[in-house]
Amino acid sequence: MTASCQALAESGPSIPRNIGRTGARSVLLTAALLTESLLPAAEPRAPSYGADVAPILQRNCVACHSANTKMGGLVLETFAELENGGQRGPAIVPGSPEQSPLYLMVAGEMEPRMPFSAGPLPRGEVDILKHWIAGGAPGPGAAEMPLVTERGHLPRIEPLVETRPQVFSVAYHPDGGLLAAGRHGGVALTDAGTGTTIALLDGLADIARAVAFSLDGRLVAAGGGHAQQGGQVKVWQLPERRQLVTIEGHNDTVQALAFSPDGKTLATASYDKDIKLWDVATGRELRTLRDHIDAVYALAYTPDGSRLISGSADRSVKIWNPETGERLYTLGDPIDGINSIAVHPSGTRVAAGGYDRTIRVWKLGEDGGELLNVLIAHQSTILRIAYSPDGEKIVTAAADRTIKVFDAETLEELASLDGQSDWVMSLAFSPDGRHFAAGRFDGSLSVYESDSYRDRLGVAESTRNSP
Amino acid sequence: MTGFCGSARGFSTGASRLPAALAVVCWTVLGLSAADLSILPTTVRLHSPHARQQLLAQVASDGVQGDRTADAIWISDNPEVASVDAGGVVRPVSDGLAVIRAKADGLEAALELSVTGSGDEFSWGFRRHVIPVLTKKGCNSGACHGALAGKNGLKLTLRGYDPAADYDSLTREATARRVSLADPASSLFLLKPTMTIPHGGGKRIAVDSLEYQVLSEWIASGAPGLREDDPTVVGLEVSPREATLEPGSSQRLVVQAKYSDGSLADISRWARYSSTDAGVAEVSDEGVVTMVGRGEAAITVAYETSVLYARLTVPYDNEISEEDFSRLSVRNYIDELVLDKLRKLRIAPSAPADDSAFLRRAYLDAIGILPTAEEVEEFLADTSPDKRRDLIDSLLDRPEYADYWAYKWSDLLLVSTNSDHLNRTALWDFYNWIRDGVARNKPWDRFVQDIFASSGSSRENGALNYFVLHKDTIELAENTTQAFMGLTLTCARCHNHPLEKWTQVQYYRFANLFARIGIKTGDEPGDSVIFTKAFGDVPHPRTGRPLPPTPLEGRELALDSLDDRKLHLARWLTGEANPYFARNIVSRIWAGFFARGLVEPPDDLRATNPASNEELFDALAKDFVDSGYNVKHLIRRIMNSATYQLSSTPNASNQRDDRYYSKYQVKRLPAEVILDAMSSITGRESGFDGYPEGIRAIQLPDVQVESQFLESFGRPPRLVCDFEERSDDPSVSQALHVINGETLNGKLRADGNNIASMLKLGLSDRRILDHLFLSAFSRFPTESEQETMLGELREARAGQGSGRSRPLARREAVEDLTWALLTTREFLFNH
Repeated sequence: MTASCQALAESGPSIPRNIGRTGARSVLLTAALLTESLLPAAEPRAPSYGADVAPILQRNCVACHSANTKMGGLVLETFAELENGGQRGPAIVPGSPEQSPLYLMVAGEMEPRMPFSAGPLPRGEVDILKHWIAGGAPGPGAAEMPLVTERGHLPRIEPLVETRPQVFSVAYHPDGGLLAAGRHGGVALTDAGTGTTIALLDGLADIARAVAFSLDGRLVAAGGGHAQQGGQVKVWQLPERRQLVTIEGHNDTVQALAFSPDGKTLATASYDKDIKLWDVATGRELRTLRDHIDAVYALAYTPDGSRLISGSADRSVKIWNPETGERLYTLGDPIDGINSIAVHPSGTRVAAGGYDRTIRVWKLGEDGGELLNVLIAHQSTILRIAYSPDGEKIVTAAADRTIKVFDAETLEELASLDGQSDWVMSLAFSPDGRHFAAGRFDGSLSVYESDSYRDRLGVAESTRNSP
Repeated sequence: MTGFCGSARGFSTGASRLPAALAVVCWTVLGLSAADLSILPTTVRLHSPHARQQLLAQVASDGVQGDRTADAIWISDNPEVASVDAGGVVRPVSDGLAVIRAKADGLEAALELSVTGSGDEFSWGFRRHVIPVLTKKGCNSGACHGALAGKNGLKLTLRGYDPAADYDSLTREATARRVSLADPASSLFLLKPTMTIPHGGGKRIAVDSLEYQVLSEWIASGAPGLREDDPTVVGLEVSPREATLEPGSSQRLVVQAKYSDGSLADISRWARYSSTDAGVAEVSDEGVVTMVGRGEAAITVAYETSVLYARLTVPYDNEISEEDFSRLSVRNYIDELVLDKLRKLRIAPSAPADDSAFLRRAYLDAIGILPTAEEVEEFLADTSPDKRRDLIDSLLDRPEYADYWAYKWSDLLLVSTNSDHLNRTALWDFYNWIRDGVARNKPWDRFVQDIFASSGSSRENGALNYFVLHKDTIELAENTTQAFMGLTLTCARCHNHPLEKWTQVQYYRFANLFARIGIKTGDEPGDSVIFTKAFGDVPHPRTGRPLPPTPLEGRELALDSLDDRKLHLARWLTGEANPYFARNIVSRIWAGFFARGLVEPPDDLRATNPASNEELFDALAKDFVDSGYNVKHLIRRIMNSATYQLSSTPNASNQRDDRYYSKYQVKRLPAEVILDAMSSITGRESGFDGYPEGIRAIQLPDVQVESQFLESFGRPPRLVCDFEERSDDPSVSQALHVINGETLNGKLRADGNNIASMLKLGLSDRRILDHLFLSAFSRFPTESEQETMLGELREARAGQGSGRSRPLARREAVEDLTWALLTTREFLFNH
């Protein structure tokens, strides 16, 4: 029985079979303990990993000890990962519960008591874990189904109101005439001049939180996936609009993606804290870049492709060598999580914005960065940041429902487009720099002229204020 | 009578006229039986297709109520308007008026209710429905996502104090990770709490529950956000508000929220409940109370930022005659209200205290000293029927009254050189202003206005040192609410107060009243000049912007108003519109006479901290305000009550009563009073460094005076405004100080002390013994005490068993006798 079935069973009126059995087992075990000396013949079956142990771990532990969250470096989703242990060493010593932190912590005999900040496990379940370890902690037998975290389901709920497809990401095609707008289930290819949807590229799991074109304009990639269940990337070929490859491998949603300048590699950043590099043609995973300790929300290559730069909720921006996978250095100045980064067209600077409402610009060196400029730019979280293609302006969008334009050199505010109809989830400059597109949570899309800040699609009614 | 007419009131407020037939039923039932059945709540209006209301069928017989909701037969006379199910839950069918009947115990009750908006479009609101579900299910509690750092990536505001921030977190942050408008069932917001996928917080919501329906339908209808015209909760009603119940019985509570648009809603399901005394009443998560013991318990009901309580009582199992109650002869309203409570709980009052006990108690509580032996003898010999009243009057005119109460108010106002803020000059200026106010019995409102309604040099107006001693605006604002309103606002500095109704917004509106109080150094050391600054604001930490300065429940000042903010505060703080002002000082004064405050601790006037006798508290506060905030008037009222003059000796029924004033509750004397009493009895002053000879401990203006004795007996450091800063907890160090310490032994052995004088005067053993007993206990020794102690003294006089000279042996014996008296509980306690 898989975890999801179990969860469903728990929420429904029927008695979940696995739990029922586990409960019965604990009663049996308790009885056995009480009558051990009296009834030596009636030895109960030793607990098995698949039938007894895994369900306990699944119910009580994997919310924090998943491949995604891996608290204390420990993952309890599979037997192999359980055997690997965590940062503090092995979780179990087969044959010896009293030396096994997993047992000691759930039994309250070692700090911190587990499950952390929740009620202790029922005595029966603690006993099962103890006896399983005492019996040598046997792994899943050949006949047993391996336990995998599968997507749980709730009964389908139909939206009661019709909502415009929300825009979560935008990107300009290199020829400037086409926009890709990431939305639920895929990408809308949109005429950048009129805002008309030309075609839908669909089939993506959940929301396209990131979208990107390859430099040659032949490929468009979108990153999606279901929260806490797995990331998914789809790459389509243009102009055929043929789906080229589906990439799965992240444990959580894909939040950002970038093509390498040569178009051969696709880099993805995920809520699961990892960055992965993929061979675009085959969808094969090339490398995992692991150093962030929280969700990675932003990712960009330098124009020459020699550096990959990431921004994370862990309050840092990291500089990587994509060839070797080596993390070169970390820019640790932000005092809260980063939502977005932008690389200057020269490739020598990076700008970042996030929860601390602050724009920071660093000069990129060989071994470290130098903080050039800092400005508390908004009244709430900065959601997106972008450089104009000439590198002279920085545009930001924030949860205060404003878009602001700054002189990239001085961070002097040039314009503020106030009263945005909702959160601007995405920003992109046209390749010639004459426009920038803004896609919003409410599904509206604007294309602003860079000099007049007029919305050429006529959508935005925002007011412009120049300080 | 009360029960059924409760439902009759329901008719009249039910927006239309009372059908004549029902009135007949009403009177018939009343005519037939002493028992009543009524339907609660008495006002019910259903405003939307999703509205529902739990009704209660409440029976009352001989003052004892019972919840018959589950057993009652429920009928709707107008099923086309409203339906009622077997459990008493009403639901709307169509607009109109409906009469709902309940039948139980052979009785019948009826309630008319109105249904409107039954055909309106409806969607669950974020503020009105979603947040309450999250709060009830603990999602935004401090242990889960309401923690400052959130939990596992999701951060909500503690108990939903900032719905706008929560709305953004849930719908938009982390790239709309939690709520999917396109595919609601794939929302993490539903998958996690139902444990469809692993959730660190476990399973919180079942898929077949109303809570799931609220959350899922809210998403399905596009996750609508906050609207300017969202109705807000303006008050709660709980039914029953008060009830006397059978032991072991259960009572369901029904809570209605009243909204700013005039609507009513049953929010019982999402209110949070707690019992103030789990030994008397337990309350379930659903608001069903079980009376597990006897006594009185308040069930606190919290919803959003509103709180109130229901008071449920099971009388004690005592047989008490009218004669027992009559031992407490009513002298004023205090006695009436105390008796009401004692009758309700079936607790008999103790007997009246004898003259000795009263005299000693009155001196200690009113002026902090013991009566001298001569004063005791004179009082005991006085035969005037008004001698107690006259004594109280004379005590309040003595200078020791000013010393004692000035010390109390110095505790309250943190008079001390312990920070660098007050030097000796400023300390004396501050103290002298306090003592002068007490001596002249300055009305309490004027006393406080001296602080807040003035400015200028602190040398000229010592009260202004109040502003000097606080280190910043925030501390000043918080101490002010604590000292003068009995309210702790500190939690609301960072989030809405979890146990109170004060919000963070109210906090920063209030704090901004203090923002323009300027302090500059005056012309001489110890002089500060308090002035009003033209600029300055306390910004709200999240927005970084200031809010219009506003007293907690008062009128706001515009941010750009030129009115003096401090004066605006002073007017509201000391005015009648501020109920906390009078209650705070009444509570503090009352606590000076009874070991237990009307509320406990006495400086905690939160709405969720009910008084042990609410009616008494109300009456005292009203009396105090009516008297013109006259402190001596209130003290006179208290001391003249028969309640205050009850004996501390318990009877069988009030042995365990510590809060209903059925007896005078024994309490330890304050540190300073003990020390001064030891000094006065031994005739040997304590002596304090830097202070003139003869100054008593209670006359010290400062707590920064070296005294291990005072420290070990709980002298407060006057660092924070907190009633419990003064400790009366026993400690080993106290025992050592008393038994073995130099303080007492020094006084006993000192040359030329009272012991020496008595011996020098050649007083008889008997006379010495009387004198010591009268001085220490305000009474003569009993016969057996005389026998034992005179024996000891006689032996000493005979010089038996000692190689020392006779006078020396006698002196030692008298010292020992004095020591023995001064180390008893009878001496150290007020009783």
